[in-house]
Amino acid sequence: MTKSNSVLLALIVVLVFLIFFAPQIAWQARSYLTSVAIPSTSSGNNAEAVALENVALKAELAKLENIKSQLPEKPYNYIRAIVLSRYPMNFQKEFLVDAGSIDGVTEKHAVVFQGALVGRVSKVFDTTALVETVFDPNFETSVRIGAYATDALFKGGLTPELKLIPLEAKVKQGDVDFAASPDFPYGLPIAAVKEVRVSDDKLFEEAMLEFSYDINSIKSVLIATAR
Amino acid sequence: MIVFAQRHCKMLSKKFITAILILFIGAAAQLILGEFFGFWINFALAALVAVAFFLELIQLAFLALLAVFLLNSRPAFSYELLFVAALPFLVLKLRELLPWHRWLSCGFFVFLGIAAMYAIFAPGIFVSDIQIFLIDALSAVIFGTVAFKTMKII
Repeated sequence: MTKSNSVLLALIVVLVFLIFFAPQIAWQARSYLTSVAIPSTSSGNNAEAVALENVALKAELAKLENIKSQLPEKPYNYIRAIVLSRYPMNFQKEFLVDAGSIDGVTEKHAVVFQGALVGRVSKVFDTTALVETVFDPNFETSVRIGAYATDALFKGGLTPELKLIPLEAKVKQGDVDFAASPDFPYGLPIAAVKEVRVSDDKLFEEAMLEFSYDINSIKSVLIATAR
Repeated sequence: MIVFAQRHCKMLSKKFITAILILFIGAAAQLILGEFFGFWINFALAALVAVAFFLELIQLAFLALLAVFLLNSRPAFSYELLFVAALPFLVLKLRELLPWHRWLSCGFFVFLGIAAMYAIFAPGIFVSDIQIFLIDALSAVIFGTVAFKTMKII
């Protein structure tokens, strides 16, 4: 074996170690990569450097304010958690949060952002947990819609929909659908109805939904500790 | 010093360094676009397929693991990342088999790899949101082809 191959083998061993025992290093690097918006400068002009530092500090402050604004008053029976990383492909819509079993997080519990249900805990580790969002194709839950509490099925995906709405139901645009599954606290709002149409088989109605948040901009969430 | 190292250490060959840079660019593009738009394009996979045409087995193993490390989003095993790490080795074995230009083979393998990923991990997208697959695959093919041409020039 040549010397260069030995070095590469050593690096491979290091990478394997990092993948299994220190993945948080990559999450931190990703977080840094996506938060870097201010280009660095090597200018020798002091005034310009100070002005740029000021801009950089303001950006940092804005970033922290943004995170702070997303931290609602913590209700009873909820744990606050920060989003660490997101699944990097289109097959699932999930993210990792910095609260795990030692914090009291358990599987299938509701994950809430600004009062709305955004997903459920799908897997729990010691200090982290995976959250399957309502935009994941596998996410399904029973819901009720509007003032008449019409039963329906919430089906996740890139454009989540409400299915199996009875034809005689009085569902209209603007009605809010809310969780009615035993897995979640009853009445957690999910989204508002955007458009109602009859299903292809003409047996039910379906509804397109409108969300009041951007799932990609969520930096912190609340996790329910009781159903 | 770098020139000296390059002369005496195959590990630091220009192609290998370029391959690492291409992988970093691909992974960064994938992560930044995904974080901002919620739409993930498999640039890292395309980069791995492209560099598989030029590297040796051990160099490719290093890059495949580096890609897994950069893309890993959870402290658990992931079949998707196993696929990302394994595909370049298949390309390494098959890269001389196809009868046409190698850059066409690169594009073909990128498209085939992404199609296989969707077929295995989210076949429903072919029916419900075919445009997601098409944008992902075509963007990755373009990136992979550019990466291939870059590797060839170096």
